[in-house]
Amino acid sequence: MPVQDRGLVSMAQQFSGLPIKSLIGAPLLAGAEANSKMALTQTQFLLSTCFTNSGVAGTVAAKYEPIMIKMELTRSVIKVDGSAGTPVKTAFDLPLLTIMPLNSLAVDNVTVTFDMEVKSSFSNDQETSTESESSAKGSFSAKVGYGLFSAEVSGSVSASSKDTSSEKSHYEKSNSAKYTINAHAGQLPLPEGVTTIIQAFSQSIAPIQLKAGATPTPAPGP
Amino acid sequence: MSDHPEIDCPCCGGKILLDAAMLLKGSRFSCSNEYCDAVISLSSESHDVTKNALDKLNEIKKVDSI
Ligand SMILES: [Zn+2]
Repeated sequence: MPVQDRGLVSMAQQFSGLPIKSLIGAPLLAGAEANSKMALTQTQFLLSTCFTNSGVAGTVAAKYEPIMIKMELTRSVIKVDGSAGTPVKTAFDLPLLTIMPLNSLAVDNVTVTFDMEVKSSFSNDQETSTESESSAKGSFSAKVGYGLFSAEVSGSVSASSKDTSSEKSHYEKSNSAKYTINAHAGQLPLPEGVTTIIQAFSQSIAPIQLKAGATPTPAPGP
Repeated sequence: MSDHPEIDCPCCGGKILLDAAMLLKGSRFSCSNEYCDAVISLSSESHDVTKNALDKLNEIKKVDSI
């Protein structure tokens, strides 16, 4: 069996055919698309629910005015003698828009995990043992006599030869791939402008301090 | 627009922590300063407006989660 045909798998070759662009790009694109849809839905909701339109919707003639809601700030009053007085209520208007619990929901994290394992192993166990065995047997005997002496020689010869050849070869290859996408949708922080609006409103709702004999004066606007 | 905004208390400058959804449903929120008794709440005359808005909001949240 030709050994060179079954060398180790080239790792670079294994990765070169992968659609890395789409593996990574597709989930990110899907996240961006989801964001776009969510933003559109939220904008439409804000325009239809938190504004009144006195013009023609979707045209330059559209005139959106924020819907205001009335809030109340209540404070207890303690009289000079220490007894509880009638609580003072201060009313103020707030745009519904600023208080709606509509979070800027967006996909804020997309994690693409791609594990690929290319396992390639090759082993060639060649076991060659050579044993030669040949066998030949022979025997001989001879008798020699000379005067008073006589000798007898006998013997045998044997030889063996054995040839054994074995080759073991082992080839293993495995591929595995895991593709995980984690997308997380979270709340984006409030835009600085919205926070400023909320602060401006909260600062402008200071209760009116009445002095003896004075008429109420409205609190300064935002 | 956040679920848990906080505003400065107009009486003492402390923090009033709000849950916007609860506030719009009529809950009252008091100042975190233990010496201040300011309470903020939605006026009853605005209940219908906010109920309508919250119902619509729940609808779009359902659609978003599909
Ligand atoms: Zn306070």
